[in-house]
Amino acid sequence: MSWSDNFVIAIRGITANKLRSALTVLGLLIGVSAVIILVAVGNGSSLSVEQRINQLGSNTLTVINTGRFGRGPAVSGTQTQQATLTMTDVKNIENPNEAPDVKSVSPVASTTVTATYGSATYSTSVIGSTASYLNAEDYTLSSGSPITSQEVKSHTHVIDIGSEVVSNLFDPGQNPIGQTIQLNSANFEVIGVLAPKGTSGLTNEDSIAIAPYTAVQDELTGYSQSFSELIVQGKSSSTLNLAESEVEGILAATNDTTVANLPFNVINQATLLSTAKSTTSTLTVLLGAVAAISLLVGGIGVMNIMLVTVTERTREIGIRKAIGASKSAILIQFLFEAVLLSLFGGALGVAIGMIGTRFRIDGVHPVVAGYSIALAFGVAVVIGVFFGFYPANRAASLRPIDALRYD
Amino acid sequence: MTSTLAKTDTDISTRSSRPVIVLRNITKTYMMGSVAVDVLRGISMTIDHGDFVAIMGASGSGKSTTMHIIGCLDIPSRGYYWLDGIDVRTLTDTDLSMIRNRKIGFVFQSFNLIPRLSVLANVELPLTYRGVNKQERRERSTAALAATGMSHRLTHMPTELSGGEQQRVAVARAIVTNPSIILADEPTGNLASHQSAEVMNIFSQLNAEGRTIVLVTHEKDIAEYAKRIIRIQDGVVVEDIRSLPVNAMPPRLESNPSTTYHTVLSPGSYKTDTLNSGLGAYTPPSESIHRRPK
Ligand SMILES: Nc1ncnc2c1ncn2[C@@H]1O[C@H](COP(=O)(O)OP(=O)(O)OP(=O)(O)O)[C@@H](O)[C@H]1O
Ligand SMILES: [Mg+2]
Repeated sequence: MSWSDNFVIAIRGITANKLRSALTVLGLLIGVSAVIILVAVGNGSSLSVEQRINQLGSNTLTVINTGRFGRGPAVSGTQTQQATLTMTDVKNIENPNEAPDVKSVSPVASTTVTATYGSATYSTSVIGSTASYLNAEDYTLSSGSPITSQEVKSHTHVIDIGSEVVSNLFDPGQNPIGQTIQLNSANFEVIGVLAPKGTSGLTNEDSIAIAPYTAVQDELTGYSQSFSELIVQGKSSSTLNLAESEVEGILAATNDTTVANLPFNVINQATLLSTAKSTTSTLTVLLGAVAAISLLVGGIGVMNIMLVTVTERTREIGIRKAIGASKSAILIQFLFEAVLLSLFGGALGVAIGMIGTRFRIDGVHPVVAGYSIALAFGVAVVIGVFFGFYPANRAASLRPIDALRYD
Repeated sequence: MTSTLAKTDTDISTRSSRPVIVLRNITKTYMMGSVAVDVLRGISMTIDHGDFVAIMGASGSGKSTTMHIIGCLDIPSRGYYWLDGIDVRTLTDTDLSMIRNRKIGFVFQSFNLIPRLSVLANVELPLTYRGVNKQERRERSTAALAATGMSHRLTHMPTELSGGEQQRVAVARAIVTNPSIILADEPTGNLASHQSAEVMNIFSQLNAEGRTIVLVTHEKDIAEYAKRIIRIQDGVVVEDIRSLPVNAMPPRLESNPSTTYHTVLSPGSYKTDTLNSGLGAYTPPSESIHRRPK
């Protein structure tokens, strides 16, 4: 028998049982595309979390005032004093002898204000800080100039504003640089526009304005010398943990307490990243497991269909053997059928998986993992071939009369 | 009552006859749970090359079981079966497939057409397994279907046919390979009398060409087409009556039949029908066509 005869017989076998063939293809298709899409979603979400954390700035520690000493129960009378982050802390941490791994410290005095320009108003958060803040938080300017140390020192009312603030206050095409806007009632001159960064977690990093902390404290926040947080930039990511302990040591010393009882939270970018990474890789594994189960269920569906039709097919095999088909001719036919069906189902699954991963799924851009395609396709083909072939092999080994009598 | 074939041979033919089917003390026992049911209880028969045999017997007497064993579709529980001088127990599964494909044409009592293949595809299938090319396959299948009066149903599915039509397709499938042995289990059971006559005339023609025909029938007038009638009762041969010698012309061959089935396409193509290797003393039946007085 020629290969083309075998091929024709296999194609006839496939088209003669359209429903069975379609269901087999469907089972494999769903399994394969589910694996590809779910793994891609897991992959995509972990990549986007990583990106967001990286966007927070590079090699930075964030010192946040928790407002209260210690982590144990507060004992009344002894801990009424409010802990604050002040310029003294900034100076101490900036001291290269005490904290050799710290590159810069940027104090943050922030508040939410209503910005007004002409008749346009927009609610935005204002960060009062120093010149190093932009670099520490990875902000760049799309036009204009950043706030300078000189302007910080002289309490100058200048401001760098985010792209959303620009689009909400100014007409399209209007150059905001040199214009004066009102924050609450204080006048600030716009000297720069920040390049867009997108959203990071809950905060929209483009709906922001950065001004000298001195001017912000004078006009907007009201407390003098006190900050809500400090952004500490480390010299390198490898020494960030060293910088963290140096900062904690200094703060503990100035506040007369131990590192464990520090009234501040020191958030380490690197720790955050590794925590987030392990969380998202757990997510990927979970999604992968769900996908693997769906592939398995698809495979069981295929098996079921193959076994249900085995009675009919066993009779057919009996007839074929009775009119002179050899066992090998029958095996080739069924192998061809199984291979064709599972290749088709697998390939269709890959195609649908690739199409499916082009869409945003729940805010995540899926990122296709090459291994998931190979794995899903491979498993699908193995399942299809095995369950197509195994019952046929058993039937082909029967004597024709037993196969004809089979039920 | 049981006559052995050795005796028959000497009785009827002085010409050197060649046994093609030899059964000796064939038994078949089915286990029904723990109870053994003896369906065949020592069947012996010898059928010569070119014979035309009708097997008769009551329902359940074991005719189909015997035919399945002769057709290499089933194996006996005990006993010996030589096909063309070869003990079939020594043959491999592949050998048996080859024999079923090239040497034997089998018409099942229950037709056994493949339900999801068209009439034409069903008849072509044995030729496909033999490796006959597409065009020749088509020609031979159409000819076989024409001979059984089924030309008008080539593209139908078996389920779209009446019982008689399915039976004629089954006959066409059995004769399409030009087998040297045709085994037909009640091939006219579902046919009207004129259709029966046509099918029986095909068998008579094939027998006139030297092919061996064994058929099972309940009907006396169908059995009259044969040269010899074997009766089976409760799994044993109870009667074996020969009415014509093995090398005689079949008794009811129509001299000018309305349907003529020409099996010999060309001497070359016929040669491929034989199993030259591994099966010993088999020679193409075309030889005997020339020998035969016409
Ligand atoms: N697979 C089997 N298992 C058990 N018993 C069987 C089996 N096949 C056949 N038989 C029994 O063997 C006996 C002979 O069956 P067989 O088909 O050979 O009869 P038959 O002579 O062809 O009858 P009919 O004229 O009705 O076709 C029957 O009694 C049947 O019940
Ligand atoms: Mg029967």
